[in-house]
Amino acid sequence: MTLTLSSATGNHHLQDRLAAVAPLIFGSEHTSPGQLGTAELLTQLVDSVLSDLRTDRLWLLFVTIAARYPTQDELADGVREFELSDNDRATLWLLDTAVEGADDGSAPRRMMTFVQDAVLVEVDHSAKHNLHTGIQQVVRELLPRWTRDHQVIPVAWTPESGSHRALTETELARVLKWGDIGDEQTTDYAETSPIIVPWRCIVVLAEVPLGNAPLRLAPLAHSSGNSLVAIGYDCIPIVSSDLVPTPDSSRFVNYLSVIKHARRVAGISASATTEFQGFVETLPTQGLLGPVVVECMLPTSPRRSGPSNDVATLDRPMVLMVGSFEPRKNHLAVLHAAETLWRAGLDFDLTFIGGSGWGSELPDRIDELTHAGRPITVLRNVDQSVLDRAYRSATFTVFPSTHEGFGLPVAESLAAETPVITSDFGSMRELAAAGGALTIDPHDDAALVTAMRTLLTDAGELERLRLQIADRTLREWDDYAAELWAALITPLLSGDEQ
Amino acid sequence: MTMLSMRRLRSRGPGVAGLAKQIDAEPGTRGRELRRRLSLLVQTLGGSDVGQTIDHLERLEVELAHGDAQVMWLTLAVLLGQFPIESSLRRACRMAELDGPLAVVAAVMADRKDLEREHPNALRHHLDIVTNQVVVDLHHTSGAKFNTGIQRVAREVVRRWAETHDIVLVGWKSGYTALYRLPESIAWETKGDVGLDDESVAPEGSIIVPWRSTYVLPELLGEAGRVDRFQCLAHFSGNRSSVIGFDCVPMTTGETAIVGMGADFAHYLSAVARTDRVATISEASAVEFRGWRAMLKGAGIEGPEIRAILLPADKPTLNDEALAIVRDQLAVVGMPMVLVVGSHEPRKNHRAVLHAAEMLWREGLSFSLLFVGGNSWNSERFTHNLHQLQAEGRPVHAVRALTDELLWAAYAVARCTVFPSINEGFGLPVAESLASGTPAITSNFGSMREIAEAGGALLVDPRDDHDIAAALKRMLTDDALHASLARQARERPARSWEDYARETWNYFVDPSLR
Repeated sequence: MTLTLSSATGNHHLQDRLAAVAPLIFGSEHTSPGQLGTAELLTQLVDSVLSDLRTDRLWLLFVTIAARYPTQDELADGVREFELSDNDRATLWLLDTAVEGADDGSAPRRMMTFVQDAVLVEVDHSAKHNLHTGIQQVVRELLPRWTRDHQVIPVAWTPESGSHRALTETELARVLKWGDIGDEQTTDYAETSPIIVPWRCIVVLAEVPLGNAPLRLAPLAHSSGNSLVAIGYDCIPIVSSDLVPTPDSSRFVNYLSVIKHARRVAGISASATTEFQGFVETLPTQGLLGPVVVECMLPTSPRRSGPSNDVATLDRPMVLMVGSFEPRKNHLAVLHAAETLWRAGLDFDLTFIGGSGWGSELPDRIDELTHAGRPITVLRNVDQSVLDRAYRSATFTVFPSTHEGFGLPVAESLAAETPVITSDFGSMRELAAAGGALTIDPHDDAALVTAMRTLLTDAGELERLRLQIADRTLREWDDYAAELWAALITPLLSGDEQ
Repeated sequence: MTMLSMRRLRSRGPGVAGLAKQIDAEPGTRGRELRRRLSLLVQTLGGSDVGQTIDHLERLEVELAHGDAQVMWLTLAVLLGQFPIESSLRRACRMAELDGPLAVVAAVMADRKDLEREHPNALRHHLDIVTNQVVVDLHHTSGAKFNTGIQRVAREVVRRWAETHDIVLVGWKSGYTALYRLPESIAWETKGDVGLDDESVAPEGSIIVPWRSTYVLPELLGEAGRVDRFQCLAHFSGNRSSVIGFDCVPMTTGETAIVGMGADFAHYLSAVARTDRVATISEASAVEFRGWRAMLKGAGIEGPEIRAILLPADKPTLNDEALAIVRDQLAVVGMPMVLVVGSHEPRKNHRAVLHAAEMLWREGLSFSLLFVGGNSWNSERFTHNLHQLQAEGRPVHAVRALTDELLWAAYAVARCTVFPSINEGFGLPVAESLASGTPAITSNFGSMREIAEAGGALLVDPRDDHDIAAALKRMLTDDALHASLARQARERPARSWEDYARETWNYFVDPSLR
């Protein structure tokens, strides 16, 4: 794979952009576009596209002139317009459409870099924001390894999601050196990073794109000559839409309209893989094959260094639940089980650690029980060291979620060598399978009560689970990064797509 | 209002005598209805009407002591006259376990006070529990002024069920809190925009609480409160539930749907996930629903049984007057007419038809093009292209809607129809065209291919304008081919609404209730 950076210097004028794209559109035989004026060059490029009308070349010419990716409507319009037009009309259509749809004022002034035969990795949110949960953690573990082992270009979106662009220094640090910088970094204002135009590239969706990005990603995936691949985290916003905010479901439907045109998807667990495969199985009804879906399980985090479990130093057992305060995580069942056991005379602390959340039922119920004297602690938005210490201090953790793509708190609990009670299906059961966990039906309160009572009263069972954890084989981020490359990228390079 | 907003009671729960006194003290119609409902509830659960509130409460306490979510669902629905949503039901079950069943009854009494303030009539409504019956939810169809697609299917099938079986027709009370008995006269009329939300417009019959019954949903539902209560009913009430599955287009083809529709549809699907059976209107639609069901595994949900029961196509009704009107006013003299039926939303791919037609007109072919269908989300681009072609003098026309007679006449007059949709649960215009003996050009996959299999159609790749143009050219220029397809269309086996109604009934309804 070669990496070609065409005209890395100040090509923000249309003339320079056209000169840069000319070799890609004409093919190699054309020699010296630089000697032509802008109008002549544009005429020749339109002639070239007209003479052999293919969507990928039209897509490329459109991006060069409009400084944004076309939507499906724009691209389909373009093909039809070109089919029925002479050079003048086609050129006018291109210029008109470029101006009409321009909603990002910064785009025409940006530098434009054409990249051929490269791997672009979209890391928009992780680059722009300091949030560090789920997907961002994956991105910030993956990218340092991929950039170390391969040639990849991390990209973000321009404002208004017009096209991909390079990352700023700050953004690169946020993605590649998170461990060193933490969340100290602020956002770059008025960044002017160059637009990155992929040609015959592989574009990797390492996140779930937001906003209008899917509108422009779908034609990129199916008509631009580039290939799109993705990490498949979960389909919770569709499958468990009753438990997520409505806008999440809307966004996810848009995301699926891109995924259906992807070449490959790597699910982060067998469960996530099943969900994406299920979606692919709906596609023959609309005449599509959809992506090849493979499983590439996330690593269970490495064992955390630090003091060993200091359970003995606590005056009574502590039960920990980590997870955002949303209905899907099933905190109310844990509260009910805890209250049942407290009433039965068991003595233990219950700690919830989480971030955002919604609804009033959970806070109300926590208030009620706290008022009644129950030992409940709620911590929000704690830093990693507090979280690590809590995992290590807990007698055991509970995570009876009703739906997860992975179940990070289960993995983290096991990494801290603390036994966990979790759900008996999906990704949580996968994580539990290698030992150290009790699994229960999260909809069955009685089962949760029984499991919690066991770990609170049966020291032998707790010890047995701890020993199982010690025997678990570790899976590292290096393994994941290498396997993900093999799952998503290698087959497209070798032409072997199974 | 959230049910069981609770006022969680501190103590071990109230005494039965105190509660009985409270219930007996409820005044007027509301009090009489409450005591009647309590008696009804106890009798439904197998007790006898012994007349005394305190005896009923003691009996209810025994029934609820088993922690049975079904009994709790019924209790909440009957005493409040509002069907519970899942979170209320779980809260009630947990309360019963911690503080005893009577604590739930006490909380219901407290909630009734809130309800009385907000909806003074809600507690006075007469309520029936229907046991071992088939309850058919025709809420949206009964209020809809249109008679296309889903409403048409729902009306045609339910009308036939009602002719041959005993069914209880229901809609949802204002606020989507409970089912009520729908007068049959309301169900069959295609009315103006009545808006059943407004209690002053639509008089509501008795609240209907199904128990050990089959609940059937032959339409689509999207209203948030209705979805939540339907989901809880399907999941926990112990009633069997079945739906007609039309398609999964808003989820699988979200790029062609209105923003926000995907989320509403996903919410609907999360309720369908808890039903027992889905009868999809085509095999292609079953493929979508089965893929969706496979996705449920991640949430530990098995999902409903899914079976394809193909929709029928209506028999054409032709009359000379309508034929004359179509020939005089919608066709162009001396030109074969190409007919396209359907709204101009992007999924229907009408712009590809315009483009293919323009390519053929430029080649010198002579034909007129008629679109029958309304504007829709994102149809501006279609309208723009249409006006461009009309300005250039091309023989292309669009009408928003036709009466049934005129539509059948248009099918009969047309040389062929074109329906190159990207995704359909059932390509009705293809079925209607072929039922009219008029050859169709349609997509080479999904339900359209399925309908075409019995003969009379040319299949194309709808994403390839040239493929559509090539098929249209053959249809217009190859008389032998056209004649052969027309013959195939006429010889297709007929499938009736009676067939469809019988097959869906047998699938949905438990043999003991049929």
